[in-house]
Amino acid sequence: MFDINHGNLDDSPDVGQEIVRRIHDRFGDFPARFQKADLVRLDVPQKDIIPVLSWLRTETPFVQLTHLTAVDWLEDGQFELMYLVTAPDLMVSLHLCVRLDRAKAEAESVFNLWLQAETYEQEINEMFGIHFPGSPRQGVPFILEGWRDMPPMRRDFDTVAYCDRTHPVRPGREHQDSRVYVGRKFGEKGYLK
Amino acid sequence: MSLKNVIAPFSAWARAVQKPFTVPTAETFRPGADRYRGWHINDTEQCIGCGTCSDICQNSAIDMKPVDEPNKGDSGLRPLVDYGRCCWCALCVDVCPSGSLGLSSNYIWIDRDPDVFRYIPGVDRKEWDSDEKGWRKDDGFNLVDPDRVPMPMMMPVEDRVKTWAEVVLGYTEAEARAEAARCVECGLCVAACPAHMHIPDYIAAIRDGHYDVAVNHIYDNNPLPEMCGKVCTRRCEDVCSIGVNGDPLAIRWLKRFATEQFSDLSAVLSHEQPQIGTGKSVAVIGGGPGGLTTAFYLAVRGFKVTVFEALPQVGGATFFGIPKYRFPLGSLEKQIKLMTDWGVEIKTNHKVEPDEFKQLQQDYDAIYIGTGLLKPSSLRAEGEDLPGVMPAIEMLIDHHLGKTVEVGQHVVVVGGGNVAIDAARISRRLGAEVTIAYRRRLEDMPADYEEIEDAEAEGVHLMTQNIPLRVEQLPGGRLDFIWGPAEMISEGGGRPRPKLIEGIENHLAVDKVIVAIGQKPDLRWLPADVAEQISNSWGGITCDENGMTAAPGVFAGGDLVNSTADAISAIADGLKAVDGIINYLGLGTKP
Amino acid sequence: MSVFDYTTQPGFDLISETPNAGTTVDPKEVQLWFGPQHPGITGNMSVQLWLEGDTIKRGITHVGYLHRGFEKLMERRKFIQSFPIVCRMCVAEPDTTEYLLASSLEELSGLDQAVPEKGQWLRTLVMEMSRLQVTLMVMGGQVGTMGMGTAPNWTYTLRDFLLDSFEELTGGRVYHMYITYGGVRRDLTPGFAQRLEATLDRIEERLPYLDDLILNSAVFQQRTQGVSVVPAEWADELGITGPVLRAMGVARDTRRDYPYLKYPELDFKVCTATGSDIYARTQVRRAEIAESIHIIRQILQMMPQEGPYCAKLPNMLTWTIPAGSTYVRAESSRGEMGFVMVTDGSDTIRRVHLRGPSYTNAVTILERMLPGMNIADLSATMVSLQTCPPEIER
Ligand SMILES: Cc1cc2nc3c(=O)[nH]c(=O)nc-3n(C[C@H](O)[C@H](O)[C@H](O)COP(=O)(O)OP(=O)(O)OC[C@H]3O[C@@H](n4cnc5c(N)ncnc54)[C@H](O)[C@@H]3O)c2cc1C
Ligand code: SF4
Ligand code: SF4
Repeated sequence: MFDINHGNLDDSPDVGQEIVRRIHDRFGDFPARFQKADLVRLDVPQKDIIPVLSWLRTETPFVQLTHLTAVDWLEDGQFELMYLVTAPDLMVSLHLCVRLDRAKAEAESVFNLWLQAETYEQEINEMFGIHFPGSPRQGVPFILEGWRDMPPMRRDFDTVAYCDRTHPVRPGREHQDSRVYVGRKFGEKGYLK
Repeated sequence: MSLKNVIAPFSAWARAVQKPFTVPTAETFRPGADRYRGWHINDTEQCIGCGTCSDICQNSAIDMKPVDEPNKGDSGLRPLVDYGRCCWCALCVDVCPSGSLGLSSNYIWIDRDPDVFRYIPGVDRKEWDSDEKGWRKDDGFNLVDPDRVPMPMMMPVEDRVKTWAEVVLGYTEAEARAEAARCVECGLCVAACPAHMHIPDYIAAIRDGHYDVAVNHIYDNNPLPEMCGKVCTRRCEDVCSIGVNGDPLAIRWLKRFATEQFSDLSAVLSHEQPQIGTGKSVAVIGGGPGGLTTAFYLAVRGFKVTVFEALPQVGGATFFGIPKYRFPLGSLEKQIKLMTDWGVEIKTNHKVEPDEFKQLQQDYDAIYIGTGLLKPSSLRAEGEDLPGVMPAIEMLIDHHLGKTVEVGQHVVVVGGGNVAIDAARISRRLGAEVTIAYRRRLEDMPADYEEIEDAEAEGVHLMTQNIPLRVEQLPGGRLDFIWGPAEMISEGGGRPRPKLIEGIENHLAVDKVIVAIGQKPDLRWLPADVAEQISNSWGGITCDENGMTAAPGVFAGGDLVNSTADAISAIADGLKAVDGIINYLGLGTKP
Repeated sequence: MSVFDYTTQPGFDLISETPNAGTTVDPKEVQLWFGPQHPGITGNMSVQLWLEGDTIKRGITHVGYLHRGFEKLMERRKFIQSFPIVCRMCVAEPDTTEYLLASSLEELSGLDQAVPEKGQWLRTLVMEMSRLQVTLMVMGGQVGTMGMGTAPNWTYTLRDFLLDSFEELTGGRVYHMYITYGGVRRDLTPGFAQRLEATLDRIEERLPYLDDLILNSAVFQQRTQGVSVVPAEWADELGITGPVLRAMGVARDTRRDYPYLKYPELDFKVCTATGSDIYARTQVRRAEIAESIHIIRQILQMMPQEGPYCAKLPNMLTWTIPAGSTYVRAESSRGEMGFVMVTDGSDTIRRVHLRGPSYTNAVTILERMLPGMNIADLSATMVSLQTCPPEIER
């Protein structure tokens, strides 16, 4: 794999540093964190993510999509997509992270770059309710057939309430928290409050 | 397709005549491995009911249940395991601070009734209860942290005895938060604390960095927390579940840390007590911890409270007894300032005399007596009246009132409690060689173990199983402290007591003999009839469950009343009197 | 019920109750559900097939029978409480996910520096024992799909002897719950190495017979050579790893390429084969059995006998980890397994995502391979791709 503009990445002593430098030159000064020898995290704005990914896929040794997943940052009103793109021959991965508006919950598909993105995007669509227009299996159930509630991986989906509803505890169960129990037994009280 | 490959699979026929791998398991029970994770077992004697097993179980398989006869000092709860949920991860076993919980190597249990598969291990007997094998806690793997964050000292030990500065430095923020994170919030400490402070709650607040929240929890039951944070006898730490197999949480140091974060306490504290005491007044006689507690919590409820204190400074024994290198004056004054800011009136240098007491009974709606123990117990040995033999308590009072105390070159301190250690360490700082003479063994010493360690580090010499025989005058004003060795005798399983080995006399030449073998109440300031009415056989005062003496409207507490004679017990008595006085005046919500 | 109205969310209108509704029905076409209840299916999943005669025209993978929501559950638990969960992500091979959980959080908390030497060796030991154990099982499963009985009986029994060792070391046969933060949970038992050596000898002794039954068998060769070939150009395109990749002749292995644990100190070769068919994948697995035995023997030799096996841990009930994210990987018997781990400074995981080889193998690759496949080869193909439904849906 040869990057016409910069020469061969394989010759670089530190591939992570070098690829980040090239991305910076080409696309902008995205924050980068060198997590470890084989992993660099880059926080990319949404408008740049597809250009960066296409460039990596077509013009660099970073040809593999190792995984794609999402994180719900409910308190920030954002979703984050995390693309792990790997250069299998150089043994370095890039974690490209992009924040989306949670209210809009839409991102461009990378199905055209990587075939197996269809399943990743299908799952994210189902579990987070993020829509990837043009991705082949959007809206087709993957794991949750007949699910009617909110996408369950969203942070505001209350797992405990769901479990209590669907799998009620055995009747007669009763638990005493020792902290509370001891306090009650010894007449603990407050003299200021 | 080669012939070889057609024939190859038939090589397996060679195996047909060999012993098969399979064994008939239906007939032979296959025992689990030595550390198999099977059904639960629990040594309920050792279990302290801390509920940590229940907290860690990610399947919510453990409910804590009250059991009939709890051990003394535990919560009275025992874990009940529901095998409809358990996944046999044994995290409950690995976290159990007492090491009582285990999994047996037994894994076969067949029943048609699904509801039998839950039981309280150790209480509901099972055939595998005595199984020696199975998963047990291992020392090399701890899910709770057994090691306390060490308390940094202000200065190297050799410099300590040259100053009166505080010995202990106090935790840094990071240290305090790390120490607080060791807590498992079982609450056993709440039961053990005489004042039932909200210990897990303030520790959690410290862990999360919310020190103002912590101080509010702390002030809920203790108006002298910085004092307790420095000198408390900390019975909470004795029962700490982490302490069963490790160092207990440094509860005392954490309390100290939280209160030391704020120089102006009224800025962080809030109180929501209704003003029920308007128009009512209460006199508090004796400004020790008990009296100050009563005064503070009544004042925040709108009572008009006056504290009468004989000495120039309130604080009681925490002022005149406890040395300043343990509890500096500034720290006391800061806590007293909050009390006066919040409405407590304090009259120092005001000793209540018999006639005045009668007048106070007229003028006030209720009285609290907390005058403590000021009369020293005598050595009960020949020569006790010689000049140079002095009671520790008097020496301490003199020292703290700023009078010069002469200790000479070498002193012997008789006794093994906190008072003895304090007198010894003060004498060290006054420049003397110090020997402590104690009747029993080191492990029997009532003084705080860290105090003993600190004293030894400062060069105090400890002599145990040492019974004073008599003191004789030596030429040149020195004294001959004559003592005999003791052997320890256990009778009827009780605490071993020292018995003098007759015929041996040892001599120790000293300048002073400081006697610290206890103090007694001194009620001569009460009118004789009142003293007669409310005092008991040992000269103290007896109270009912509301803290009230036999004289209506007269309440009492602290060293005069309780048998534990420490600051936190006095505070607990003060809290009891707060409720007692409110109820006595008909202002309580209770009928 | 939740207050959230999913029907207003983008994409809802695309969801229909019946999958693939609206597909036109061809009168020559037979629709068949292979699984979820079928002896030839690899666990709890199904493949919906459209057949003409016994030739598959197309098919769609269906999972969802085994979804336990682990990734979600772990977001709601203290770090230590996730530890009994991860072993269930891939039932057959719990140790890899245990290691991934431990090492990802160790990396983000800084605890990785404290893991003692012996803990690292014991981790490597169980990881390799686990790879061996699963590979044996898959070898048996592979021929089992073709109706052979003897070889699976043998491999499963040999695996069970290894499970005895797991039971001895970890207290459990299947869910080991052994690798955890700071190291492992227990030390070696006395005499463990000798007993494990004996099992290794036993496996080794049986291998030539297994070869005669499997790789050297004319029937097996006929059924597998040239069957279900994975095209080489898919390797990078789809991120294929593990034996499926190595059966294309590509010598990539996480243990070598992204060194972790004690693998850099061990001598082993990356086993490859050519042909990229079921036979080649079986050859790779057969070679890896021998290689794993070789590795385990070295570990037993090189491992220190003394020393702590676990670092000193903070209180696990209050442990918090600074905010961060990482990806850790390890070579499972199926290929690269990885954890994406995101923490937010609290006492719970913010997001964890398992990247497993089955995810692409059993969906994207399998579906692409189905058209034109003979239905009799489907089972064998799925086993050769080493499909693991619990890993796909977690
Ligand atoms: C040297 C020493 C070290 C100690 N170390 C510790 C320790 O490390 N930890 C711990 O928890 N406890 C310690 N204690 C014990 C603790 O200080 C006491 O238990 C506690 O102070 C008792 O409180 P109280 O409310 O009974 O009143 P006290 O503290 O006994 O105070 C009584 C007050 O009443 C005043 N008074 C007496 N008569 C009158 C009167 N007629 N009119 C007006 N005022 C009067 C006295 O001057 C005194 O100030 C120590 C005690 C001493 C002496
Ligand atoms: S953790 Fe141990 S000591 Fe605490 S309640 Fe459970 S079994 Fe008892
Ligand atoms: S073994 Fe695990 S699941 Fe079972 S009760 Fe203990 S902690 Fe809970």
